Amino acid sequence: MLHRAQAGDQAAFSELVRIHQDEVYTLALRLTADRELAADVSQEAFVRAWRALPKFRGDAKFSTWMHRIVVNVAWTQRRKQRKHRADPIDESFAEPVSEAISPERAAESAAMQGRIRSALRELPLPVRTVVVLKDVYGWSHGEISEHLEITVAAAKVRLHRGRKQLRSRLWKEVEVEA
Amino acid sequence: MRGICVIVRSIAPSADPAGLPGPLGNHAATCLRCQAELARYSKLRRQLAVMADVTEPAPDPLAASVADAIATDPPEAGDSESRPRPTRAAAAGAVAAAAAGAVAVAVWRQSKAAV
Repeated sequence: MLHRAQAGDQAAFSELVRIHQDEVYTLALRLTADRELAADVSQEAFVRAWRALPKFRGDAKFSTWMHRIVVNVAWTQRRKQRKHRADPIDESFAEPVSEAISPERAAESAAMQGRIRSALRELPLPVRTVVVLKDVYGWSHGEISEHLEITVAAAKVRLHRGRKQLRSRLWKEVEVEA
Repeated sequence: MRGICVIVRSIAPSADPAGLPGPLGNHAATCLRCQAELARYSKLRRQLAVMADVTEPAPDPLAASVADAIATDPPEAGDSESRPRPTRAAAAGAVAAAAAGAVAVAVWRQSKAAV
């Protein structure tokens, strides 16, 4: 399917879009915390992927390659928006649907997951982006620094701050609840 | 809270999940407060990692809008995400060109003055 898409087969590419759209949209949503913007970022990412597909050598998985494009598009959007408004926060950013984790594990972590998502949305976008890429998607500091055009040290500082803010928000909540 | 606990708390967000090195590790092995703090960060990182397996359904029109967008937009061999982005490379090139130009002009003026 990938090879057919690389050869210009639009139907094959549409199938790739269908397979990867949820994953791409989820990453875009986590980075932007804004449903409308995430949809725009996802569409732009797929269009860029389509254009660049002949150059895709398959060194990484297609999904990994798409993730990089999504990050680039989201970061570009962020630069455009930075002049006009503060970080967008979408209040309708609901609970994602669990697909791949076991029911036991999902049930065990559901409450914590909800709190983490809320806390993540409250992080400043530059910090949230690094936390999402490193701790959720397992990017290295080198990959993060390359794609966000920041130094490795800056990436580490943002990750440290992000985790600290998340910890503060999450366990403060628990203490209040208790 | 002891001073060493403050240090552990300050480095805990970036601490190796395998444990703290040296005296800090020795302290944490016997300090319940520090163990609890490190455990919170371990739990946080585990929960964040779990999110990688969770997806949000894309809006219905996404696939259709992508199909519309690419219908009149054939793949371009020269347009690649792997291509270096122009921002820093272009800026560095411009600075280098300007510096080379300034040197060339200075050399030309000196040679002209000598004549």
